[in-house]
Amino acid sequence: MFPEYLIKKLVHMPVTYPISGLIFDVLQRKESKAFKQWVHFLLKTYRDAYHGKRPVIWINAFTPSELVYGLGGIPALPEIISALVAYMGISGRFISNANTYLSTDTCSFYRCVLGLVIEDYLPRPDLIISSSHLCDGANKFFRYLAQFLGCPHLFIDPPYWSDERGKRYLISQIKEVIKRASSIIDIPFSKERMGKAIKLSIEARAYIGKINKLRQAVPAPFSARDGLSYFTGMNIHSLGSKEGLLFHKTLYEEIKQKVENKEGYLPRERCRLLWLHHIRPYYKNEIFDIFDRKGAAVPFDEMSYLYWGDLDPDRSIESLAEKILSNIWAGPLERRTDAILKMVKDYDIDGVIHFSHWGCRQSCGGAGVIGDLLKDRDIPYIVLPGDGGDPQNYSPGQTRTRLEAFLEMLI
Amino acid sequence: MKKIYAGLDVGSLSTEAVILHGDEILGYSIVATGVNTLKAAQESIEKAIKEAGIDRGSICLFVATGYGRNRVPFADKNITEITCHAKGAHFLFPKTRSVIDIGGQDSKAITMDSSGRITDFVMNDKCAAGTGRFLEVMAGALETRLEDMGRQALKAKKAVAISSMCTVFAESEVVSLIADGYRKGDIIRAITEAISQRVFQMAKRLRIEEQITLSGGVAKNRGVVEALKSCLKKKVNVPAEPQIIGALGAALYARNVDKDS
Amino acid sequence: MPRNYVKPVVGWTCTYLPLEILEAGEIQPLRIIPSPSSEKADAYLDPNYCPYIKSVLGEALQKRYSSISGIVLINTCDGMRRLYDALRFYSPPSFCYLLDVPRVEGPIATSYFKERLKEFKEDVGSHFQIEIDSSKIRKAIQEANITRGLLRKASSFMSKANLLKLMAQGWETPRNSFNRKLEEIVKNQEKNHPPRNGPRVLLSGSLIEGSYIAELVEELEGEVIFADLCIGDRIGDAIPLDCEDPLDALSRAYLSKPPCARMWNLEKRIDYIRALIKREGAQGLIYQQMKFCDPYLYEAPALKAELDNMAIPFLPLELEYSGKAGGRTRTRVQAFLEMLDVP
Repeated sequence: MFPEYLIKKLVHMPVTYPISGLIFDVLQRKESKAFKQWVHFLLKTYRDAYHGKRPVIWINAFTPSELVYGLGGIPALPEIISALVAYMGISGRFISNANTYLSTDTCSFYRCVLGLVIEDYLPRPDLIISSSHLCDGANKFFRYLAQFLGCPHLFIDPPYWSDERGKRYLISQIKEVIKRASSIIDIPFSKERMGKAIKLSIEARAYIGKINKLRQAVPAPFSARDGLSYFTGMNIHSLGSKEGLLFHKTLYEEIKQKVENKEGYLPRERCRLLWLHHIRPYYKNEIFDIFDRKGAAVPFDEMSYLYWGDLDPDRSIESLAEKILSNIWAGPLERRTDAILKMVKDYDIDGVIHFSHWGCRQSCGGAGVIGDLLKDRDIPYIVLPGDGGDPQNYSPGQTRTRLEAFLEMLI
Repeated sequence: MKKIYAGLDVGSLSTEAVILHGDEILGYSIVATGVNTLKAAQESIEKAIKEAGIDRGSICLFVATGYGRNRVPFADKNITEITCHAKGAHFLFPKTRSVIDIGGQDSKAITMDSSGRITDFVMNDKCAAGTGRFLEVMAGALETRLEDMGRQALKAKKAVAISSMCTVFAESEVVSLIADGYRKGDIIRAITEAISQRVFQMAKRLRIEEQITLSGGVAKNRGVVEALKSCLKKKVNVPAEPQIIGALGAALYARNVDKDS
Repeated sequence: MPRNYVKPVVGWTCTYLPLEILEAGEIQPLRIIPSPSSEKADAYLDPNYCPYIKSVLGEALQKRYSSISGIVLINTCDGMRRLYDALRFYSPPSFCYLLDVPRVEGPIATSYFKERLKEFKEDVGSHFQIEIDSSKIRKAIQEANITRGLLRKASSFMSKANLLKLMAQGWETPRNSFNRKLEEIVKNQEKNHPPRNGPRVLLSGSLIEGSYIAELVEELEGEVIFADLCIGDRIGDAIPLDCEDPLDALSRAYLSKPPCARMWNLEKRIDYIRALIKREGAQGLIYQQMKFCDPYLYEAPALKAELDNMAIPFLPLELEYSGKAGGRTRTRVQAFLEMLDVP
């Protein structure tokens, strides 16, 4: 295997990325064009990030990527990199190193990011923008990273309530962030550029809506396995860019084709599951293999839910505020549970799985209420404790037993 | 005339006593603690006294350390095993700046300055992985004697990995590996690596510097010692009797305290 | 649990709630300090959850809060947000309010927070059928300022453990009788605690029931010179009443008071702790990390790095919510004090 220092050097060299792209095109077996577009989007984004051609702005998940594109920067999402690193089977080491600094009770994705930052694997940011509405981790962690890296950090503190007062508060903050960000990255704010990013996002959103509708089909044309990987990846990273629009259009067309041909991703569908939580384990694991083997289709995942309404390119700042405020995982739990009940109905769901990711207080704390709401409606439900990023925290035996027992209840 | 001091380390599994005269260890003992810590403390001190060939009355000061340190009525003072391990290790190896202690039920890492005074410490006393218990459980699963584990680990040929963080899950993994036909020696090597990794991860929270002294019962396991050496990449001392370092430190503390008073 | 109060009693959990508004409405605030009953709430929340929050829910499920008239929560942290949801779903109090407190300071946040305080005042007023006007709020602030001043004075001569116990009494005592009690204590310098020679320790961290860590340090002959805890010295200064609308005063004062780790500004927290260490001459910091308390878990690495720079030893203690120091905690604290006790 390559020695460590060589890998790090390669990661930082912009030329690695187009070359990797070529290798990928030759070797990859997956048919989906949308999948290929995702890989190329990532390679291009990180090539540009390491090239330093445009300012690199790190954001956390749910800070709208449209904001970054609108500012003229390149968004990089360390959390997505964590997922990729886990997928490549090498997250364990970075997480171990981070454990020296951060308690093991915290989210493994953040710890993986810290491990990567400590060893200087990530493209240096010119600015970090984080928003606190999803979780406490986002609150302090990105500030700490900014301190560690010696780079500026801007913070958006969305209100708990999304009424008019809350919206005004958020809009003032976004305006302030845009003002300061533009000065930090030395790119004057352009209403046109921001409007263009919003417009591209609106068009992509229309396709997301259509995709989500198509995913309701029986048999399920698209697995949550992919929904939680490249679909989510593009959903939180690419909106506001041309590539983002193209991706969603391509994916829509692929799924449309499948639905027209009544092509399910499983040869035989014996039940339909809904996956709850924003992620699944990305390192090598059996979970979706078990589902596939048993004929349990997972047509939808909570993370794919289209929670925001139409944006308006002429009111771009207000639109960004509206998008943030519509987030179903912020605010009172009713937002999330109403959406889940709707998903159960729309996707003809037989059973719901709540993946309780270690360290994720905001999501796991809702598992009890969600379960009781579903049980009241006679919908089978199971909580699957696990860890999305740390393979050392994965117990295959326990996972298999729980899932197989659950499926035996349904099939 | 040099005075005689006694140090007692009342651990949750074993109790040690050390009789110190000047710089010389006159005698020491290691007994199982069992359920009665007072009884174990008495037994341990009597045994050490017998070995030292002295009179109980000639002991000037008793200092107790360890989990049961508050329950030794005849102790004049009690201090923590952290301070004691540092003192004991420093006495044996004056150039030591770090101690890694792997006991039956807990493990700890300690850093100290050139005079043996502690500067930082970290403890793992809630998770069995990274302690002697881990080895004990695995020895049971492999139907091997605990004492033979070290030797067998060194003879292993093939690399196998145990990925579970938790002792209970790791045991399941070991059982699966046996069923899959892996050689005992190779599995033992994997177990050794697992425990060493856990200990190393804990120790990494401190600024571990040379020389490093290992203490505790598990330091008798040569496989673990070698595995730790390769993780740490630094000079490692292993005392002839690694289990009495805490009690030795307590006796040294008694000596210091008496000088001051 | 609450004794027989004449006024309605409203429970609270977070010190970012301006109690003055409740007191202005003739409502008795009661800080919710549940007895540890975490396990009962596991199935309703998640086993790997803040034990304080689980205990609150556990008690609510056992109907221990049926005698109080309501609970006000704050979006202090993720756990608190879910507590608000779980309480409303499983054991809804008759008045269950979530006050949105910004995590940032500055004019925009202060103005927003003031709007929410106004809304809160109106909602409380309409629920409890009482008019809460500016003069009542002013009066409540003045009374609260008296408490703040007296507690500061008491802090200068009482041992920390005793001060923490005294403050705990204040959470379930009507303000004016507590102030009178404090006046007596300050006048007579009760429980005067002569300064000791032991290692000087700063206590910082998240909410833990009781004063047991301070007691432990004192038992082991150490000295807790300041308790940077929301159950302790993080009292804040007297609130100035120099503005038209007392809600402006409250908004500004509460957002800018000595910060909890749930606030965004990491630098401010670190500057504050650095200043405390210097001012109080602390030799070491004991960091009470309640298990699964994310704001403090995520703050710890930056704090540790700063303390390393200052060459100040740092002891993180992972603690349950309950009020007993087990053998493991005792060993660590004792070893830490042994480490600091350099003759």
